[in-house]
Amino acid sequence: MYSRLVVVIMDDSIGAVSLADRVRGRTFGFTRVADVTASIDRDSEDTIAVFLDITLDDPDGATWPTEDIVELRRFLLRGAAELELELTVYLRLSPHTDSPQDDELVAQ
Amino acid sequence: MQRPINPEWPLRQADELAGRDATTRGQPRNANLRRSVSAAYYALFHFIIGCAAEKLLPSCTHELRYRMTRHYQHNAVKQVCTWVLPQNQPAQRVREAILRIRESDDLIDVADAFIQLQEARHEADYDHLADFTRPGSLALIDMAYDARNKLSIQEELPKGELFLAHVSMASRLQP
Repeated sequence: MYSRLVVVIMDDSIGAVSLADRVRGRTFGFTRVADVTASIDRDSEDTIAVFLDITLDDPDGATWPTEDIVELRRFLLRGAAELELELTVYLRLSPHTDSPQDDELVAQ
Repeated sequence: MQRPINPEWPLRQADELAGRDATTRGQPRNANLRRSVSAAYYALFHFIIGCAAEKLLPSCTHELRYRMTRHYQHNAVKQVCTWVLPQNQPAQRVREAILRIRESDDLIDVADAFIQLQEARHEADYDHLADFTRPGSLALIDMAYDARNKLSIQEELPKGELFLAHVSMASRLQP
């Protein structure tokens, strides 16, 4: 049982890294994926899942175009199916450049 | 006066908290960004179960329908959404129906948005180490808007009805 779990996690780790490799550097509409980090962790329901921390080039406006993000998500869902990833894939989107938040500006 | 939860209101709140129209430098307070993500998730949850209850009880009063929505469970909605994603194997008894639902890219987007937002809400409320930025939070809010728009169209179509029927049946009545 335990060894099967290890094999599943190892297979999915390889799949998660492959998924990250597929998307890194790719452009969706006007939005380029600058970097991706893949990790396997437990989600809020204590289920093992893939987490992709995706750094995107800074948006022109307040955020990235919705269509670009939809395209990115569909690409990842297709990729996960092709790679036979059995785990849920969660995305965390961040801009390339971080800037201070209001409370931090007050603290300075 | 009773004021039901209109999913538009938490969406608007999410926009305000995440500084959608802000012109100032920097980003909103971290607590506001976290609350905005949480509000976006609840907006989508209430929109989905509202549609499902309307399909289930088309002739009932609003009040009875609102009472029925209290029986919908977050994890049950997530279960249906997880089945809809292409990489997962749906359970045997729902397989045929789920494969039909999957023929709609829009419904896959709705299911994926629900899953993403539910996890993001959990991180926003509990995870100290989770990073919430203005662009990232607004992208999640846009995901909720996009899912709402797509489900608004799909709920009138057979695959959308099938999706909502599964959402209704996945939840158990709570005595």
